[in-house]
Amino acid sequence: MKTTLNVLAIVFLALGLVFTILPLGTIAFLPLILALAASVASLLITKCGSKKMAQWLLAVTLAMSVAVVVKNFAFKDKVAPETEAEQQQQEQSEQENLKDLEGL
Amino acid sequence: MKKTLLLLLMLGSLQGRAQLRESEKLVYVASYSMSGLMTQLAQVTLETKKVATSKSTFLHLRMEASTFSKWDSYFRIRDVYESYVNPQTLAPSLYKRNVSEGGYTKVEKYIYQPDGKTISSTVRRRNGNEQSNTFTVKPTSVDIIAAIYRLRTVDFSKFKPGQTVALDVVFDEKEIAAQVKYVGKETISAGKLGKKECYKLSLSAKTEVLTGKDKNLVWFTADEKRIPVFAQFSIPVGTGQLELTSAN
Repeated sequence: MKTTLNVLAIVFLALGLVFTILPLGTIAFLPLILALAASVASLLITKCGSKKMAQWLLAVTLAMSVAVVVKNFAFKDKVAPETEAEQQQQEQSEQENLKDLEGL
Repeated sequence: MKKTLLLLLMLGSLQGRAQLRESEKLVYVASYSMSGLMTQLAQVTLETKKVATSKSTFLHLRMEASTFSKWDSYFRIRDVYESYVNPQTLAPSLYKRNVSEGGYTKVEKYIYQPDGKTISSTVRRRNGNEQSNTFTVKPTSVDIIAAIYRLRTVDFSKFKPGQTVALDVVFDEKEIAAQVKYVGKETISAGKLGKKECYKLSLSAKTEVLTGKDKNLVWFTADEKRIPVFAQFSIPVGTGQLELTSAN
């Protein structure tokens, strides 16, 4: 049972890591909550002396949750500035539009 | 039907009185629901600017949708919708749509002929193919951007819940019959504008793009500016929302 819970915690943790790296926002919490539940359950059913694995998983899960919070709430989402080519394209488009409007 | 036609006429009569603000800039955050959680995807900007030619003056309506930089490596969106309209009647003269989504690109241009019902269109796709077409629409038909601004000219204070406004929107060289239903008043959080009393409107159209009944909603501030502050949409691939973040 303990091994199953630890394996589940590792799988969800790995998934959480992938979701944390990808720009999926707070969705990363979904696998992390499951990893947290599995590691806490593993910790509770484990007798004294062999809790290291569960404790380690719990610590990593909490650390990753903090990373998700920081990533999503401390950094504001921004749009990449326009490149020079894009600016030129926009100016050209506006000039074309004016030319079309003149013709009406 | 009669009620809708009456409201359409009322809308037409309102167009002449409405004066939308020039140099208005509204910025929104577009989010998409993934596994039930809203994930911020893009920034949507609505801008107005006065443009003058040697013969006349136009109001340039521009909407730009750009994915946040964190998404650009996966799926970059840079969509620009523009409409040059008569500042008084909001009747469009020129409409341009420049779509860049992932690797897909499309540039569409409509020139409204002086009769108000003939459109000369040009569509350019990624492979460089350019197609020209001429088609006719109802004289009251407008493009999607002009439709948003035209809707803002409707005085919903006189509406009763359930009353509708009909709009004919030209999109992808097709005329789509859309209907806007006034749901009622609601006070909602409007970003930096704080809590605002709003008109809640339900959008429906004879198109597969919008799904569900009363699942496409928009909230306009219940004042003379009628700023769209929040919108919820339901499309075949999921649900999402638009939230106002700044208004200048």
